[in-house]
Amino acid sequence: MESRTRASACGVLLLVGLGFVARPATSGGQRTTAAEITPVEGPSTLHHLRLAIEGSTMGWAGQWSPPPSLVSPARSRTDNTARGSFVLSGADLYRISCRACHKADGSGAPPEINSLIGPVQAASVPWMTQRLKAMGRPAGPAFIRQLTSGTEADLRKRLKVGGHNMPSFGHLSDGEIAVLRPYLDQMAGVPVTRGQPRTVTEPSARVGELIVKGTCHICHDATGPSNRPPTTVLNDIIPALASMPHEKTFYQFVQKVREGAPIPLSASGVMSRGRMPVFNYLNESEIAAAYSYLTIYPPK
Amino acid sequence: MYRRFSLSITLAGLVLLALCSVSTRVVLGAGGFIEGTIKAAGLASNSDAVVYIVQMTGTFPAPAKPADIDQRSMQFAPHVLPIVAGTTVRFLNSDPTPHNVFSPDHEKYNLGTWPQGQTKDHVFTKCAKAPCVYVQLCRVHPEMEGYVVELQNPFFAISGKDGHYRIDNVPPGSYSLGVWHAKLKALPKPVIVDGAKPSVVDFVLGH
Repeated sequence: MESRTRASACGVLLLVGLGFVARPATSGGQRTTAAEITPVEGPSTLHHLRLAIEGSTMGWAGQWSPPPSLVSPARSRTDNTARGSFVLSGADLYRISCRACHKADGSGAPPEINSLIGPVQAASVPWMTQRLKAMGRPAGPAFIRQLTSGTEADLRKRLKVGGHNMPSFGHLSDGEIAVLRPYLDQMAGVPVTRGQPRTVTEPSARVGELIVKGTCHICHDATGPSNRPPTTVLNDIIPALASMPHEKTFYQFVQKVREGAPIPLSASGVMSRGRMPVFNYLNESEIAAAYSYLTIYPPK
Repeated sequence: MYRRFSLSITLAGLVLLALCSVSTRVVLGAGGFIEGTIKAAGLASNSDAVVYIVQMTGTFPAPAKPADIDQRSMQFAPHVLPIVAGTTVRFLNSDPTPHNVFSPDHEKYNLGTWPQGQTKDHVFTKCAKAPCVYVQLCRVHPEMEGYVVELQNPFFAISGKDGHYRIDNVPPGSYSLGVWHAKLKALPKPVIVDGAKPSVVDFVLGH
């Protein structure tokens, strides 16, 4: 038990240290994106929209936590989970920023969450040209370009300022969008624009920020009630992000996010799998980055 | 006393009703009507076929009130809208997501994108030779598709699910009766309207 606690403490120190190294400007560390890292702020997307977690598919990763009996205790990991920087592809950026709502294939969950395949296809000049031709209504390049450029502008505006239910992803930098955008084309099955960067190198804290803002903040408020089982789960309270580094060790956090962890419902030992889905498509290094980010940049 | 008064009121009402009925028949008597059934071969529904008099002498002003198309639940409603040339069509977005309307047909137009609750108008005045069919598309949602069918005169009808259609108040005369459907077609048929009895014209639509 003592060694576990010590291991957890070491893990936290290691992560905090790496996070500071990755911190922009003040740390003097290497930065490869121009994005300023900021704390996550304000109510969750669900809270903002006055939606209950049970009544929405937002943030639903697609898989419940396993039954308590199948979950092993959190343990120290010996693998290389903590990193100083990450090389992210468009697929990675989609996974950590978009997938929790739009699913792995971009289909979303209509009518609440729109598929992004149609709008991405409609922004493609070859796709629109072919479509109108197949309908027996061929149109000239000027008209096609007017349509597709309008769709592209709508897509980018939606990403920056959000939509009816969709939160703003204004925290994504132009460099990150430049890497993400061709992946959306690839998902939608349209020709990918050549000459776009395929990867972006990010400091650990930035990756943590993208995960927390793009995934965790859908359901978790930045600040508010901390996790007090069983009161929290029995009263439909979702613990705030600010409380997590104080209440969970790094290893517990990783396990909760990736595999799920049982929640005690009573003093007699009755356990629940809870309401949080498991995000097993995030790897341990990325979750470590999210933990580090929440520690270094306390939510506001 | 009360019963006699009540009887008088009832009789007066019946007389009034009879007069109204005669009056309506007189107005309808100014023209005849064409009706019939559409059979859309191979399709589950016989609806949304536009039946119209191809050409009629005279000019026909567009209605002062716009015709409405609603973008609701990711569909154009109605799916097919027949109009007389010069009609303004008002496109309403009832969905929480932004919609666009464009058409690659004839003069081509792109009305832009607008949010829930807002409308955009488009006046259909540029049809060189009716009928002019404009497919309505949304560039944000490629799965959406609707049609505006611009016609020379206001003597048209659209078939219901059972395939039935009826064109009222048609001036007596000999005409060519056309039919338009998004997927199927049929040749026009001659029709004589004499105002005395209904003119029945059925169509079987095929490829």
